[in-house]
Amino acid sequence: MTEIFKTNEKISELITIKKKSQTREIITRFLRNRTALLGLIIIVLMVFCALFPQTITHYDPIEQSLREQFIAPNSTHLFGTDEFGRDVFTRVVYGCRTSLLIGVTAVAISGVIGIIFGCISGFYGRIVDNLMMRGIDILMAVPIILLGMTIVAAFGQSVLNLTIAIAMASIAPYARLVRVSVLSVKEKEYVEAARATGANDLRIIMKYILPNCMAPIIVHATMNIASAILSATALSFLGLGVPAPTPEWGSMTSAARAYVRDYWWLVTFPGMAIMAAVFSFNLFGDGLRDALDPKLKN
Amino acid sequence: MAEILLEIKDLMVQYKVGNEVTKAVNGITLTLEKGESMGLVGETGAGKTTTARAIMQLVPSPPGKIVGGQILYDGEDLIKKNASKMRKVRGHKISMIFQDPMTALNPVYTVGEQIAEVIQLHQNVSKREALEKAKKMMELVGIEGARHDEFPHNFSGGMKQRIVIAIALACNPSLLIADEPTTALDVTIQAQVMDLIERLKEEFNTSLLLITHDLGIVAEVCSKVAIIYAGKIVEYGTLDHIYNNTKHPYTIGLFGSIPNFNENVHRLKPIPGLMPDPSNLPEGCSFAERCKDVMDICRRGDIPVYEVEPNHLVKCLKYCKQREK
Amino acid sequence: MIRYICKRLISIILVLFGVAFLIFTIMYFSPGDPADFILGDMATADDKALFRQQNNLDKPFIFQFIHYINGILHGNLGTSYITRLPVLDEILARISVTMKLSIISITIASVIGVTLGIISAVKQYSLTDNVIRILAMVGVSMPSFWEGLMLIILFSVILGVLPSSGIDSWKSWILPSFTLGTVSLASIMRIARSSMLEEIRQDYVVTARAKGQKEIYVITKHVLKNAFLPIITAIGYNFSRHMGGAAVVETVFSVPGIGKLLVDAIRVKNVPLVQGGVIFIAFFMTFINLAVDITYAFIDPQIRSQYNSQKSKRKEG
Repeated sequence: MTEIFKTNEKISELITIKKKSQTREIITRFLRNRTALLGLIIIVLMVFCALFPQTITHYDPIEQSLREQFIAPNSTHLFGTDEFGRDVFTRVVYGCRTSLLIGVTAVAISGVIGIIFGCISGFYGRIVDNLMMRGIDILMAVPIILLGMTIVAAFGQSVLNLTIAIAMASIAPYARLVRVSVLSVKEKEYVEAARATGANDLRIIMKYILPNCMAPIIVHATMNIASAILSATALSFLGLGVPAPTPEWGSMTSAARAYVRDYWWLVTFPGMAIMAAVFSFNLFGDGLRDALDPKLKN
Repeated sequence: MAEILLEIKDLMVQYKVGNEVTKAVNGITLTLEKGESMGLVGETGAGKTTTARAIMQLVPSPPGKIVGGQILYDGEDLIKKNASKMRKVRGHKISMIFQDPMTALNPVYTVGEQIAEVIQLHQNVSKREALEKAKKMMELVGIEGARHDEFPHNFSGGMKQRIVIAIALACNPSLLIADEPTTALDVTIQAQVMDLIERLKEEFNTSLLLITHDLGIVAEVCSKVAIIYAGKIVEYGTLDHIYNNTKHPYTIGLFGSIPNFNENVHRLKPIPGLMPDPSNLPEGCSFAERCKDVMDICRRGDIPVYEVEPNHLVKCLKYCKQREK
Repeated sequence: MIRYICKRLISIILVLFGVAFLIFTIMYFSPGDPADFILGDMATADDKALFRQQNNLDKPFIFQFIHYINGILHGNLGTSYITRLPVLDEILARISVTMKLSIISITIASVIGVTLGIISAVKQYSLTDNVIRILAMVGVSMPSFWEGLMLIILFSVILGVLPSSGIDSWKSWILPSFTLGTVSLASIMRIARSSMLEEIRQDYVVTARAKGQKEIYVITKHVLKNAFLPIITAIGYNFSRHMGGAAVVETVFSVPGIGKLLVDAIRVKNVPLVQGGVIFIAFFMTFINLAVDITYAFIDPQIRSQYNSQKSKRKEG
């Protein structure tokens, strides 16, 4: 009996060593991709803006200063000021926090729920599977903006509602990915062997199934953050997202609509920020995908 | 003296990916006469398919490039032909059949349409006439003409290969290049397909360049043989020369690794080692590392070709002394 | 073939039922009393109780839901709080505008997207390919409302050649269509590119060239015809998304379509309109997706023959 345990230990050691060198390989591949690196740098910058906005700008994003309305971009106000005299640059920087928060939270929630759904669906087969997949189809039938509209119309405007709406609309791909992985791995011999030595369902999921599908999940999650930010800003633009006066790129753009003819900077910079954020996550996700599985590269 | 149809002189083809240069074909020379059939024999990676593609000017051009030599067909150098002239040659004067019949046909067109396509490209006939001719070709290769409106997925591997043959021979080419036509098929179907190729070759008086790694098939169909190794021809001669008077150590090794029906052999003798990496070919003879008769001089310089008997050429320094005698 | 359609129809109906349930449930739990809203501050408690009784608002959830479904089946999606008109009428009055916008934008997106995708695939690794791919990624990352506003600044404010709102002249459709189509363009282009790349390396392409076929026909007649199936699916999918996502573009350009209708409705908490509108659009999109699936099944010869029993029995060796 002890010999079996010793062998198991040795095997897991070897697997860990192999994993470590694999990880290093993946990181090297990623670092070689210059566009992906660019994406990563922008993301790091945004995270910094989100965490320490005070170090970048000393203005207050909410405090109004009506004497300083509509100043064009200059050396003191890099992006100019808005209709309330607030420094646009500052509001854009603080907007990082809002968008990143919503994006990451929504994706995290939908990811966890999606994975759980996928596991249950794949494991307990037949009826449960069918029901869950129908449920997913239903969620997918409603476009994310409409779902967001419905939830906000029902429960009002707030960051929480926005995040929930986006999370709901994002669950499907995770559930599907994990489900496929579960279905294919469930019948394999090493799973049977593990069961024979007493492993329960949870252990099997954690040890055999999840590692298999982690790579595509991580890639998808990254791209998901990008689309979540887009959806959040779009809903905020429509007045259904983050309530004023919290600085949010979408609602800033919406407020700027009225002044599009005279004060171009109010519209331009928040939108560019959105683009930079989404673009960087897309680049990063693309790079991750190439690094994790170069065979997929076209 | 029979007419020379195809003459390849010192052909060199390379693939360049990034900074790596793969020398797929390094100086191939061979001659094919009208109505003759030659076997081009070698292992995977020796450069056979690249040679075949080069003749058709179908070497995929971003990585691949013909960097030297001539391919003379009916006296004209195919390498120098421009694209539109070469298109008139393909399918019409020179045709090719491929290794994997499962993927060689377009899944969204009927088999009749695919045969008719090559007819319409080279003959001035209407669509209906082309289809009639296509049906006749199908009958010729042993498939009911009535099935012309079916899609490739309705046919088995062997039948698909017949369709490929029908396409290749529809315009009566003078040269047919067959790139491992039976490798992907079952043994029994192999025999059927080879019979078909032979029969049609006789009927249309087509020259055949048969590319394969299977010495058995070559013995049945070909009159001349060229053994290719690491992009070079290492032995060249008639069927009798190669099979009964084998000279090059590689060829000897090839024969030694086949089971012999008549002898009682305990173990097959595979050739030790592997073909050298074509992106990093050694100096001198490419076979040196695996040759049991290797000498020091084998590893230096270009190996010349020696004629050990009339029309039997060997690229091996072992036969240098004989010449000097 | 009929069997396939029937199978799909049944699963669609189940999904639609679920969608109606989902939306209805969300709205049901929204705080606030419709009676307050419609009758206003002047109404007494009795008036409100009467109102609730008349509109089944005091009945249990299941009853209300079944009543609502029954309504849908009879073409009644509720009544707008604001205009007192049937929701369905409000929607139908504006649907042609959104349809027109969606069709124009998907056409632009498909034509340009597929063309760029083909070019990108045929010239893989070249500068053209890389430029196209980066532009596609930018397109996918650009928020449509911002793009719309930027286009307005450029073409309306600075150049003054195109109108920035409404649908009076044919010119006013240009900017909204382009904005709505951008994301689809990028997405379709990517699918076209990868689909072409996958087909271009297939053996039958070499066969086609070996026949002496001209390269342009090899690409269009052979490669494209095979690569087209995923492209069609992508076009269909994106078209259905246009119907849903038009909300933002219609708001930016003040186009009186369904999207704008919904956005305005939410602002004033016009629950029946939002509910009916979302359900309607979801139903519409689902049917479009179904149509795409059926078209796909028609075109793909392998699926076709699976359901055509006669010929598939002839497969033999």
